[in-house]
Amino acid sequence: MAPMTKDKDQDPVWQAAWTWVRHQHAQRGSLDDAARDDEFMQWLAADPLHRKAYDEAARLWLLVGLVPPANDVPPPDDAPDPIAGR
Amino acid sequence: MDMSLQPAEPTLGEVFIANRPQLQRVAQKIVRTADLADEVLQDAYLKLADGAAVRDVRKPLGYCCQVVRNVAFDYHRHHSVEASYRTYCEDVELVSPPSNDAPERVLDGRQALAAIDRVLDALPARTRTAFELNRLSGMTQREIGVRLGCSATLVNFMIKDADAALESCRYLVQGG
Repeated sequence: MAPMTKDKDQDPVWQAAWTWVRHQHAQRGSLDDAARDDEFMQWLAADPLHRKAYDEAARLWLLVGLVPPANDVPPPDDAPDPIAGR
Repeated sequence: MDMSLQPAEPTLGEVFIANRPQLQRVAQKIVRTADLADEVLQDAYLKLADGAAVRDVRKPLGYCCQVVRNVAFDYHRHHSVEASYRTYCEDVELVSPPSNDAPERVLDGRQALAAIDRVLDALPARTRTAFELNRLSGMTQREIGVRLGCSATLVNFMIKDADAALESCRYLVQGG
């Protein structure tokens, strides 16, 4: 069987980018602070490849959020209006 | 009146337009300005059809809110990071300019969503549920554990599994 995981998927830069994007999603209530995080900025500015990987990871994370759910999941608590039953 | 002329169900686009004020509030709560919220709504409207092509949308308004919320969050994230980056580069006198990438998508959205859906579907059903409750409902691992009747530790493992599976999807978004 051909390996599903290509070498570039093991790229530590990509793994770091994915971790930052996941972290920022978890911090989305205070995203401005998360974006100003010094460690993140240092990492982002250190290498154009970091920047590229971060943009790609953010794009992938958005796409994941656009897939219609397979389950009947509730809207987030912070949704402005109840949308139950629709 | 000929009832057969009545469409069985409104399309996603029709639901979106009928609920535009509510969707605008969803967006504006995240991006803060009315102008950005307008941009988010336009972008989200264009993305609706991609999702609907991948999987049956059971709750049209719920899905419209999901798309608007996620696009809005992406805009907000992009603007936050760009603003911080610009400040950071000034502070450390970096010459490299900030990225001017608009948060627009270059790849075929429909194919990418279908591929992601297949990855999620290859996971155990409960793992996908846990992931959706985390990603789409914003529930904590503890809350998900209560809902699914398992420990928060197990939820943590399930979400890590889903994360690892999705991490292998870089090829879907890799440019140049």
